[in-house]
Amino acid sequence: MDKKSKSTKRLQAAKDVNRIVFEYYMECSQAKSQGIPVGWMPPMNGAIEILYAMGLQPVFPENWSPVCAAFGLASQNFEISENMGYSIDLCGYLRNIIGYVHGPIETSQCVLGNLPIPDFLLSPGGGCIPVMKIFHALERRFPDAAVFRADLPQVALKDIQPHHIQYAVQEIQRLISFLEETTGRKMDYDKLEEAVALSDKACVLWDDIMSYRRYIPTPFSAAEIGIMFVMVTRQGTRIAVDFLEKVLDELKDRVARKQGVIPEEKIRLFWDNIPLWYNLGLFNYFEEMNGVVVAETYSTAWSIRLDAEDPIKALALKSLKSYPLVSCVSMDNRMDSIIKACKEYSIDGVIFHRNKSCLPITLGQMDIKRRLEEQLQIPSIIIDADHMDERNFFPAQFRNRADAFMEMLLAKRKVTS
Amino acid sequence: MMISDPIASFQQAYETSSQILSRIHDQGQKLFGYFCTYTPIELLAACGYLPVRIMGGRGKTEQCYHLLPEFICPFMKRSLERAMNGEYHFLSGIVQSYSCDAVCGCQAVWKNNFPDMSLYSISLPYNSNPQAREFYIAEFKNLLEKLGQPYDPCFQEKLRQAIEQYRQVRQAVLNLYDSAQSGLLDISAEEKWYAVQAGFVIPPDQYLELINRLIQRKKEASVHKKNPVSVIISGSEIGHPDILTYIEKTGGRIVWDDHCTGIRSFEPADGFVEDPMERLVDRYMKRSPCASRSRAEDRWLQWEKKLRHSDVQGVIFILQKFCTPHLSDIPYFKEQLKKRGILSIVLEMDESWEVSGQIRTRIDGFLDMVQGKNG
Ligand code: SF4
Ligand code: SF4
Repeated sequence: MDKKSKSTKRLQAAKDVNRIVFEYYMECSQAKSQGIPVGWMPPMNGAIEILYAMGLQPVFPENWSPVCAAFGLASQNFEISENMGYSIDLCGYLRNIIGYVHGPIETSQCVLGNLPIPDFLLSPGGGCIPVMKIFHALERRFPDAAVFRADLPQVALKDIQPHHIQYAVQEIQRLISFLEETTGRKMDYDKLEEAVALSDKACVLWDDIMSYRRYIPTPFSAAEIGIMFVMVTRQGTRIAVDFLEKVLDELKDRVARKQGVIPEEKIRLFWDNIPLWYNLGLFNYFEEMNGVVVAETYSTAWSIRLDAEDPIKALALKSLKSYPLVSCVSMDNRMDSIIKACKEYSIDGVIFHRNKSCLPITLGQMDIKRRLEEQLQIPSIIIDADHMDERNFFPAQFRNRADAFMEMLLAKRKVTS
Repeated sequence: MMISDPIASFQQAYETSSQILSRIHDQGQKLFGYFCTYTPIELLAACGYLPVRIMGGRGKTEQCYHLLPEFICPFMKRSLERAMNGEYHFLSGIVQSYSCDAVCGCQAVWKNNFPDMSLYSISLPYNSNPQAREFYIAEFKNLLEKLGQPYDPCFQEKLRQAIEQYRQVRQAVLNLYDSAQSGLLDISAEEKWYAVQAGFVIPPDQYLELINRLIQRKKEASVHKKNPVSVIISGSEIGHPDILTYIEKTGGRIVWDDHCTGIRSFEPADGFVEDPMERLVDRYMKRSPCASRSRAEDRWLQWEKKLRHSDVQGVIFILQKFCTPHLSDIPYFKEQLKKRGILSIVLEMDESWEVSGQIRTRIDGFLDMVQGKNG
């Protein structure tokens, strides 16, 4: 077991993802020379559709971090931010991006180019603390960028009240005015409706795609999680919809042919928390033992609907729901959705990634673990690691725990079958 | 029982708060807990609850690891540990004002494990524009609704009284700080720490009496001594005063603090609007900024004012280990301080709050260095 490894992908669509990732980052690098204003923003909110509708270029520093991890660039970024005084106990996304913008942003030889310097920043209040602090640091690093101080209520889904929606709607309107003023581009509301409709379509397709994982054998595993890239960076565009339609067709075909991920699928697993971006090959480890990770927490962030008839409200609701869906802000939902997924996807065991870099998703795991055992008699293991920093991942320890877990699940399966 | 020496009373109240609050509860008083000082305790008081700050303090962490990861601040670990040991059985519930990820997640953990408590979260805006102000009011009223309390004239009157009472409490603490700083009051950092902590757990009327007595008594007995190295301390919750005592013992003079168990929670004492709800919102919107909800730059503005008016020679950041909000602001603060020629040091404390040999050595070295630099 290595500290770093890449996953083996089986979907044809995986090749398309590489192309989409490449094209997206090329688009980012070229935006400046084409006179397109560039805005950096956090993911999982309703601003992306607005930027696309206005012909602006959205850039997601958080999404750049998995790229750095996958290309082995993260360690030098960590070194830079840690030398600046950022503690090793802070989220790896924060340490990576701050290191990157104070170091190799203009010089790195990454095949995907580099992130373009922002013309404006959508700096969030709401969401997790590391993201908020990342943007505060970016404000300092890019003093010429215009700053929109965004605000968003932090509420569990079941507690959302009209005043929360009203405030989120006002924030979306304020954002549009800010962008119009800053970039000189007017919002075209027909285009916004179109973007929201496309976003909704992508969410519907996303749910459809996920539902195909219920089949036994499952047509794809968490090793293909890269398809999520379009949900992060291309929502509100045809690119996401076209790609997801293709994925869906491929899945239908695989299911019709009963083509699974591995020759003999014996154990179906659920992965909680963010994957180890530098070691997606970990998913293949389970496959060697006839286990497949068929569902994960992260994919529920896009399990929402957007009403294109009322695009501003739809985006306000999307902003209010996406992050709480996967974090401790809406723990009841998070717990219920894992329980539901375990039933629907016929899960045999759950892997809890106790993620040193992400407290908001890690907190509550022990309660979920207990409920899974009590309510569904589903066993689980805790894997201590970090989604960004390989220094917090110990392959030998992982192997010991995971081997024992898989052996137990296989023995259990033998008894019941 | 009240002891004649106010400091001893504060210390005893803090150290035996569980028993005292248990007794108060048995006498029929309902209590509501809160973690963060952004929680509008006046609303709870006006609803008839005694607001009690949940504290981590110093001690063991064992049971809490059944529910929490190791990499969360000692404040949250210890609070849960204490709750699991039954030390907070008297609480009817908790209000969490979204301050940081740790509090938000722990609130959810408490909710799952203490089903008899009512747990409410309020979401406070980060901006200060008119929409944010309106939202603030709506969110406070939403909390009242959850507590089953109509916002009627009778309640508004109670709210006015609660605001006035807590204004007096805050003002008294601010006076205590002023007197200590001006030299009128000879009080050690440890004594001051107990005096402030007790206010989070004693009923406000009793607290006011004690703290006013303290200010009075100390004025009479004032003998002001001056340690050579003037420092600011900054961070989140300080769980035990030993670290402060050590700083003073080694020649440090703490001229200001930026801690939520220090003066940060008390400034300003009140809002400046007539309507009670707006007045309350005004105060919470204008209160001293914490790293968990603010830009480092906004915090620095306040620091600059302090630095202008005092001869600060060094800064000691006393942080809870794994405290993301404060750790994230450190590089900015260090840089600003460096530009001003002020030395600083970061100490990360665990749940024992033990001033270990290593910490002592670092404090010794730091104070020596500051003194050497300032001749
Ligand atoms: S990984 Fe977790 S802590 Fe880090 S930025 Fe994302 S949600 Fe926040
Ligand atoms: S601000 Fe820091 S010390 Fe306070 S609860 Fe949050 S993480 Fe813990």
